[in-house]
Parts: sequence; structure tokens; C-alpha cells
Amino acid sequence: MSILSLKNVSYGYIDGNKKRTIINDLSYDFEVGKFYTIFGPSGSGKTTLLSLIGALEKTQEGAILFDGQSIESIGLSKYRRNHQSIVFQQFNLLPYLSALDNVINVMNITNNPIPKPYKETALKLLNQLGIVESKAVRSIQKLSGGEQQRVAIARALATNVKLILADEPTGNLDTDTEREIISIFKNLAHEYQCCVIVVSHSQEVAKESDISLRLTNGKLVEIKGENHE
Amino acid sequence: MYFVTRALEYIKKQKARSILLFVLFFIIANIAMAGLSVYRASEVAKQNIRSEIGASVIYSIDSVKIATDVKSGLIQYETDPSTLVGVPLLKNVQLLMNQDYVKSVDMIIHLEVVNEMLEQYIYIPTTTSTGQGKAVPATDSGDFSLKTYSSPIPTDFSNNNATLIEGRFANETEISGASNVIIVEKTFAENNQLKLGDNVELTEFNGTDSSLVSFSIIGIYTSNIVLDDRVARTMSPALLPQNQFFIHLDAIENIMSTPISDDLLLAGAVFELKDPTYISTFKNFAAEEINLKYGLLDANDALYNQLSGPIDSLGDLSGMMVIIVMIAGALILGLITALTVNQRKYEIGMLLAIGESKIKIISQFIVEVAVIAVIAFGLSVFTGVQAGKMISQSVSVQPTTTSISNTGTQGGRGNPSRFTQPVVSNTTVNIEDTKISVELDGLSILILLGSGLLISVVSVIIPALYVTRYNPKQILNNIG
Repeated sequence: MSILSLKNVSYGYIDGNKKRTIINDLSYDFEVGKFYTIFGPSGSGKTTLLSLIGALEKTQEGAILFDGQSIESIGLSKYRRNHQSIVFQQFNLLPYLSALDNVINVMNITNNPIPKPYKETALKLLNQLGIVESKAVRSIQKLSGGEQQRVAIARALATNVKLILADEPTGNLDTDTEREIISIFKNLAHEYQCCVIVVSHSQEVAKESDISLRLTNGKLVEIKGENHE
Repeated sequence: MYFVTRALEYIKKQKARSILLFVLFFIIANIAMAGLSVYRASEVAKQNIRSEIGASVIYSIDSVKIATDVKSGLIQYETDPSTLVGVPLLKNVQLLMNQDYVKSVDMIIHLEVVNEMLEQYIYIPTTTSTGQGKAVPATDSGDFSLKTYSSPIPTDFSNNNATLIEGRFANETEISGASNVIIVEKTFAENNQLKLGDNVELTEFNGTDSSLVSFSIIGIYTSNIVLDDRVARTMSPALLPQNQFFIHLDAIENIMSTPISDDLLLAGAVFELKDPTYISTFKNFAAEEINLKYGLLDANDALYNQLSGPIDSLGDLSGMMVIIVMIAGALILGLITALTVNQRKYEIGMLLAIGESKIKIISQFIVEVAVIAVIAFGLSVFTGVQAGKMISQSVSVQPTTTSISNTGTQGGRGNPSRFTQPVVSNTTVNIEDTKISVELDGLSILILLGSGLLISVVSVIIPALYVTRYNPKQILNNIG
């Protein structure tokens, strides 16, 4: 079942005197319960595409539909608040809050129903992702990169959304931690019936995904088989 | 409301920034509070001086202006002063006395009267330091002056120019019946061997009817006015305090050859206002309703200006200090906050990316600054007042008893040069302590907190709005 549809989406920018098209009349449907990876060479527009899907910026042409409704008509801020979550490569956690407070923070921002008390729900979620309570109450800056990424994923899950986006989530992590994070994403797609879209350079991530997509010349192309080069 | 929690957490975690902001707020608030306290206290001190001086306003003829205009040929020497614009005519006084803030008015008419059988007091200059003259028997005619009063106690007595030593003032029955009762001066009474209950017969100096009118003595007074030699020498003997009698206004017609009309020129009128704070309102009203070209309204302004001068300077200085500190403080705070907000672009972008509203992000920043500002301002309420006290101690009015002679003039009936005389209104004011009392003042605290918070909020909103106008991607990319 399609949760997210890209309809003739285009995006570009002016580079000197030339207009450079990054996304070119791109159309694609993403479904729930599937783990997608988008890969491609540097500068191909992967992060830009994820920014458009995450409503961090507006499309120049075409439309992005969430559950059949244009995200602009939903309202970009409201869409970001209630319908999707992004896991960033740099984690983007509030440095002056603890891991626990970072998760509780988004629970207070979203309008989605979250089981109360928030603290208990957040601790349970962090615990499921391997962050025990003694670490959860620590300042975020005292956690390792892998732990911070887990907190960022916990934050994404805490809003109870069906669309999870991730931009190079394993880019700063070692191989073992990368495998664990991939496993979490697969689990989210298959057990929690989320639509997980991950932008990554990593072959490992691409191999584990249900559908691999290559962004070439501003369009998404599905890759069959094991070759993700 | 989780933005409040975020704000409090930020204050706790970013200790260095919070302390810096606190110190800055505290210094600005202290200077502003000290200035405000001194300014407010100086206002109160000026009000106290005004209260001490009293709420009396004297309306008299401006003889200096008349003399100047006569000299320059603008008006003729022979001009009847009652025809001049703004002089204290009865109708002008009646217009002013009907205002709500006027408590009472004493209308004064000077009328020269004669009785050649009575001894007149003559002033002989002496070389003594007091300049006091002595009484001698009259050699010519017995010229005297009648001074009217319309308030229950004549102004000369209420302001201590004269003291009633025997008898009383006119009672209600005598006033309503326009009875011929009179209050005479002690020296005059002694020289003429008069006592309470005796009669004094007088006739108007320029009257057409020369028959004597009899007045019964109901009171004897002494004059407290100390005349300057120079003034006393030039005065008509009839106008010397010792040759003055007091009768009620309503009885004056009994001796006047012409009836009282609205255009009657009074020697002056003393308005007693309900509160000294009405003085400027009263003066403004008078200036609007009556063109005071040849009239004067004086509320002991010379004494007030003399006493309030240092306080005024301090008040002006402190007011200026508050304005400068507020402007400088706003600029410094604005710059610091702008820099801080600029450093927090990443946080703003991240919060926007997870769906936080712009209003709540700005609200968080405002709470952060406001919490620190309230604590700093709260503490400065006490320390600022102490600083204000230290400043005010350097400028204060010494305890003093000030005596000032009002040298305004009063006109009489007839030629201004002849009947214009100094109104020697001897006002004594005891200024025991006009030091500026710098205390906690609710209005100052409210002004400080209000303006401080306003400055803080504005200094946060402007840079925050500048950053949040971008979309999250632009903000995060710029950080990257």
C-alpha cells in the first residue's frame, strides 16, 4: 500500500549561468512495510531528494503526496511534526538535553497520541534500542557516536509515525554498529509496518534493504539482484 | 509548554552564557534602578516642597510690565489700570474661583480712607539693622487704607503676615449682613487709644460723599511684615501695615461712593487650591481663559525654584542616566542575544526539522532571557535603591528655614503709579529635611521590569525571526 508518492517532482539550482537539475520529473511510490535504500554517486541529489520527502524544503515542480494528500496542503511544519521522522547523519540531537529529554522533547512536539507517562515510554524505547536508563539520563555529549545514533532513531520512533527517513545513518559508525542499526531499520519496516527510506553509500545497507533505488540523472531506478555498484 | 523545560535546561547547561547575561542584566538594571529611584524620589521631593510652600496662588497686577510699557510709550501714564488686559478684575477672579480645584479665594481691595482726627503711623528710617521705623503723631491728614477679605480668615493672617492678638474676625451674621466691623493694627489702636468695641469713623479718600461711616472694632492685630528701608520710604504712609484696617468684602460698599461692578479692579486675589499639584493646571487654565498681559499669577514660584533647583538638576541627571542606560543596555543586549541566536542556528534548524513551530522556538529563547532578566532585575531592586541612596546623598538640600518676601505688586483704585504698592507677603517655609528619600517605589520597579523585559523580548525576537525565515535545510546546510 502506497504511503508516499512522488508525482513528477523536479528540483534544481542555478550554478553560475547554468541551471543544474538535480531531480528531474521524478515519480515513484513508496509502500509501508518496506525498507528502501537510495544510493548513487556523490552530488547525485540523494540528500536533496530526502530533504524534499522530509519537507525540509519545497519542491520546485510536481507534488509529494502523503496518504494521497499533498504535503503542502497538510502544511510542511505539521507534516514534519506528525507524519514523518528523519534520522540525520550528524544525529542532530539537542546538546543541552539528555538522551531521555531529547526523546521526550519530540513527544511533546508531535500531535500524535503517545502513551503516557512520556518518561516511561521514552525509557522503554531507548532500552529497546540498547540505551539503558543510566545512559539515557546522561548528557547527549557523553554518549558514543553509535549510542547517539540509537538515541536519534529512538527520537524518530517516539513520534509514532509510519514514514521514517534516514540520511547516511551509518556514515559515522563502525561496521558492527552499522549492522545493528540496519537491523533496527529492517525491524521497523517489517514488524512495525513502517516505510523506511534510507539514503546511503553503504553496500551493506543496500544489500539488506527490500528495494534498492539508484538516483541517476534525477530519476529513481530500481536495482535488481546483488549489484549495487 | 515543553519549550519552557528546554529553556530551563539550556540555562542550566550553558552556565557561562547564563552568568554573563545575568551580570550584564544586573549591571544595567542597577544603574537604571538607581537612576529611576532617584528620579522618582526627586519628583516626590519636589511635590513635598510644593506642599510645604502651600497651595496658594496670588493673582495681582503686573506693575513692572505696566511701568515698562508706560516707559516705552505703549500705554499712557494716565491709563486707568482697570482697563488693562489681564489685571485682576472682579469678573476675572470670579471666573477662576469657580474651578473645582479651588478651595477658597480671598479677594483683596485696597481703598484709601481718611479721618483727620485719627493719628497716622509715619515711617522714619533708622540706621538699625532691622530697618524698623517708629510711630510719630500725624502732622497732616489721617490717611489710611482698608483691606478687604472674602475668606473666613484673611490671607494675611493665614500666611502669618499678621497675627490677631485680641478679638476675632467677622462672623457669619456680620458677613451676611455686611456689618460695619473692622480689625485694626495694635500701634494704631495704642496711638489713638482705641480698644475692642470702640468705633472708628472713616470716609473714602476720593469719594464724592464726605460723610463719615462708623466701623466697630472687633479685632486688634500686629503686623509681622518687616519692611525694607528703601521700600518703606517710597510707600504711601496710608499703605504701611500699621495704617491698614481689615473689613469684610461685603462691607466695602458701605463706604464706597460707587457700587461694586464686575469690572472692579482688585488689589489682588489669593486662591487657595485643594492641592499643590493643581497649581500648574490652575495657571494654565487662567492663561487660556484670561490673557494675563498685565496680570500675574504667583505661587511662590521664586521660593519653589530656589528650593527645588538642586533636586531638579538631580532629577534631570538621573532621568537622562536612565534613558542612556536603557538605550545602551538595549543595544548591548540586542548584540549579545543576536550573537547567541546566530550561534544557535543549528538548534533552530534541527527543531524546525522535527516539526517544532517557530513561535515555540522563539518563546523558548524569550523564556531563557526573561528568567535571567527577572532574577537580575529582582536583585537590582534592592541593590539599585542602595546605589540611588549613595547618589542622592551627594546632592541634597540642607535643612533650612527660608523666608522670602514676595515682591509682587498690588494695584489699587485709580492711577497705577500712585496705588501700586509692593505686596509684602512674608512667606516663611520651614524646610526641615528635603533630602531625597530614595525608597522602594512600586512604579519604578514596574517601569524597570516592564522596559527590561520589553528590551529582552525585542532583542530576542528580531534575530530569531531573521533565522527562522529560512527553511530547515537552508539553516542546517549553512551550519554544515
